[in-house]
Amino acid sequence: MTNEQVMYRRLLRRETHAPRTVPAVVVASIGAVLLLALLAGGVWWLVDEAFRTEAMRRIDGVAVLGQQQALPWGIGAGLALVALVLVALAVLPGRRARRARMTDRTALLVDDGVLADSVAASVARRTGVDRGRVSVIVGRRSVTVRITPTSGVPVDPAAAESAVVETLAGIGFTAEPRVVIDTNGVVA
Amino acid sequence: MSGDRGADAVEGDVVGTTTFTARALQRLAVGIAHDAAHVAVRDVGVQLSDERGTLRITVTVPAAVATGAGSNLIESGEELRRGLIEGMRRLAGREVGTVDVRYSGIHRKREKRVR
Repeated sequence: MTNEQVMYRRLLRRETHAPRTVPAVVVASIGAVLLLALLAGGVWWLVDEAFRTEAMRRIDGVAVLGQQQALPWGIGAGLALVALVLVALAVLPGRRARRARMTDRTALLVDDGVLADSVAASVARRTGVDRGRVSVIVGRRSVTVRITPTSGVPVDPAAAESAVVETLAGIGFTAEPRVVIDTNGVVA
Repeated sequence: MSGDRGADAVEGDVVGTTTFTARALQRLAVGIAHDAAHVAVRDVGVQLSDERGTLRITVTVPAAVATGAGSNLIESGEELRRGLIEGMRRLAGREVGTVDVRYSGIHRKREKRVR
């Protein structure tokens, strides 16, 4: 494997997956600030008598507040929610609606919206239905095409399926086509 | 407006679409009904609608009664229905599923000597 291909692979992975930079930086910053505050407070506690008494008074005040049931529960629930979001961000793949492909010399990155648009155009051309009455949803493994037919002009689902497969194969991707033809058409 | 009868660019075919507006189809159906029912265009009312993917035509015409003619209204209704189905298939390529014929009034046809 050449250097370019390693770079392409990295690049494509970065482009097809959502970055976790922002949450990671936010969590790290909050952690750093809290640790620094704790360190400064600890040193201050050791050297300053007045700070010690003031801090003890404040901690007692917080303890009294904590005896009300609602406050600790609220804080706990908020923290649990934040934790859940962070765990989800860490574990979920975070895929973007894009597709990647690599050849020897080029890396190709295609947005799913672009694929959907070209599939819709080719299905409309093949089946003779107006472009505005063909809607396409591109999923990870399947492409769903919904066609609203013209009243009195039957639409061949097999032709639509083959148009989907050929269009995707032309760009170098594969997906399972699903064609749905609306029961009611449009007078036109 | 609708796209209709498209073609991929193969073997010298010219790519493009032929489109009909709903209004054009309605006027076409009026013309066909006028020919089939033998009444004036202004007396013909046509409504197009969709019925599970096929075309449904509701046509309102006066019954054209010719003095001394033999055919009854049921037969002329059948003729109008057939004419609309055939005409829409031949001229616009539309499959007509249902034709509802409604007679409203009488139109007397008087035979006159040509001068």
